[in-house]
Amino acid sequence: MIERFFPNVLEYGNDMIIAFKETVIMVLIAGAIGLFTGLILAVILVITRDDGLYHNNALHRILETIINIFRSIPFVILVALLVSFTRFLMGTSIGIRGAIVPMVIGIVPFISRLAEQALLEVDSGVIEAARAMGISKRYIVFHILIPEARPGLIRSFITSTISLIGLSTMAGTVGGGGIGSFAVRYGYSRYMNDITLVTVVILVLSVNIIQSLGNRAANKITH
Amino acid sequence: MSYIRIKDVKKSFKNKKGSTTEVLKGIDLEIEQGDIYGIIGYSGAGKSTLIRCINGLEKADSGSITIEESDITTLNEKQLMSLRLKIGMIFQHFNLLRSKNVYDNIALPLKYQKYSADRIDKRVNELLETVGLTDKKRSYPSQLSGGQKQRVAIARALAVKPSILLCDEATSALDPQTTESILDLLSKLNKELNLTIILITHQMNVIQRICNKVAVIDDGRIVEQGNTFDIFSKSEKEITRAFLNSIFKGPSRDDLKNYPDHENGRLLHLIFTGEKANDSLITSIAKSFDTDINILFGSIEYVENKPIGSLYVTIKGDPKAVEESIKKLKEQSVRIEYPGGDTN
Repeated sequence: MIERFFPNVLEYGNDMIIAFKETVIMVLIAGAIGLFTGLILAVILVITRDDGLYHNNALHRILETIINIFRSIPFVILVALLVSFTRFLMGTSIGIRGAIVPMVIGIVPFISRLAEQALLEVDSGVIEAARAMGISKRYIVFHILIPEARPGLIRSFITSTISLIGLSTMAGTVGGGGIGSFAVRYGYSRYMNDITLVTVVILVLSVNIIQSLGNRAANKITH
Repeated sequence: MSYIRIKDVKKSFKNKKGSTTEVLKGIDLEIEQGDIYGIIGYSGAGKSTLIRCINGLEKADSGSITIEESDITTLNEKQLMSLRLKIGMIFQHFNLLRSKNVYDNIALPLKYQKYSADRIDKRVNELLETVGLTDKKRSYPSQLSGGQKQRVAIARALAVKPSILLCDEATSALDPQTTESILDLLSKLNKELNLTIILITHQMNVIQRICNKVAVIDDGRIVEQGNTFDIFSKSEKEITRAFLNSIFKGPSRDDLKNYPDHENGRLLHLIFTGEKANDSLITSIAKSFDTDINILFGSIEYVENKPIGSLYVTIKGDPKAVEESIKKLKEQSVRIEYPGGDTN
C-alpha cells in the first residue's frame, strides 16, 4: 500500500531523513544563538525603560528602532538582503551555513519582543521590594528579574522555536537546504505530492511535540 | 534629637506632557525610636511618596531626612544600599517572589549579604518561628493566604535585623480579621525588638489599634501630628474628624441628609473622650433643661486603649432650652458636630 500511495517517499526516503536532520541542525544552532541574543536584547529593552532599573531613553529608542526595522522586513527579502553579509561571515550563502545567519537575524527581533513581554510581566513591586532590601541592580536583573520571568520566557522561546522552523523552510527554498527545500524541490517542482504531504505531517508532529514539551516545562516551574 | 527627622521635604513629579505635580509640599515629621508612627491620609495625599523618601526609593527634591544623625538625602546609591539594611519595608501587595518558596523568599536578603548556608538556615528558621509560619517553609506564595504572604514579607524584611520597618498600606489588601492578626504581630515586634515602625494607611482602625503617634497628611502637607489619642480626641481639623468618624458605626451620610430635622428636633453628633464617654451626662442635661434627648445611635471605640464615645442624638424642646443644653454639653468639653446642618 505504501508503494502505491507514497512511491516517491520510499524512493527518496534517505534524502528526506537527511533534509530533516539539516532542519534540526539549523533550528538548533540558529535557535541557540537567537534565544541568547534575543534574551539579552529583551533585558536591555526592559531595564532601559522609563521605569526601568537602568533608565536610558536614548539606548532604548535606538534598540527599539533597530528591532522594528528588522521585524518589518519579510524573511525571504531579508535572506536576499543578507547574501553578501552571510558570505562574508560564513564563507558561503547557501546550505546550512548560509541559512543560519539570516535565520538568527530574522528571529532575534521576534524573540526579543516576546521575551520583553515576559520580563514586563514581572511585578514591579517585587523589584521595588528587592531595592528596599538594599540589593544591587545587577543582582536584581540576574537573580530576580530573569528567574521570576522564567515561565513566560520559556513560553516565548517555544513560540520562537516554532517560528524558526517556519523560517528554516523559507531559508531552504533560497538555497538553505533542509526539509523545506526538499519539499519544494521534490514535492512542488517535480509534482511529487506524497512528499509534500509527508513533509507536512512531519512538521505538524514536530511543532506539536515542541509545544507540548515546552508547556510541560513552563508549567513545572510555574508556582 | 529625634531618631528620624524629616524637615521641609518637597517632591514633585513630571508627567509625560511635561507639567509637574507637587506631591509633597514641605513635610516635617519627628519620629522617636520605638514609635509606631502612623501616617494617615486619603489616596493621592502623598503618603506613598513620603514613605519611599525615607529609604531613598524616591529622592526628595529638597529638604532633609535625618536618620540617626545622618542625612540620607546626601547619600549616593551605594551608601543608600547599606542604609536600607537598617530599614525593612513591607507592601500592600506583599511583593514576594513567585518563583521561590517561603524559605527562599526569606533567605533572599541573607544570600545577597553572603551569609553562610548555616547562618541562613538558622536565621530563616528563627524568623519563621517569629511570624508563626514554620509549617509553610516549603510552600510557594501562590499557596498562601494574604495574611500568610504578609507574614513572609515581614520575615523577609526583618531578615538582616533592621531597626526601622516601613509599612506601605500593609493591611489594605487584607480582610478585617487578618488585618488584626498582622497588626498584633507588628505590635509584638515593636515591643520585643524595639523596632521603630512607620506605617502609612488610609484605614483609621490601623492607627487606632497600634499607633502611639499619628500624622494626618492631606494634599502633600502634614495637617497635624502628635499622640494618637490627643490628635483624635481634640482635633478641630475637618479631615481628622472625618477619619475619627470613620471608625464609629452610625447612620450613613445620606441617611443624615434626609433626616427630617424640624419635626424631630435638632440632630447632634456628640463625641465624648476619656472618662466622659458615658451617657449619664445626657440624662442630667435633659432633666435640668427640660429637653427631650433621644439617642439614635451610640458606640464606643478605643484609641490607644482609651475610650472615645460617639452618640447621635436628637434634641427637642423650647429653642432656648435647646441652646442652653448644647452650651452645657460644650462646657463639659463634649465635641459637637451638626450632621443636619449648623444653623437652624
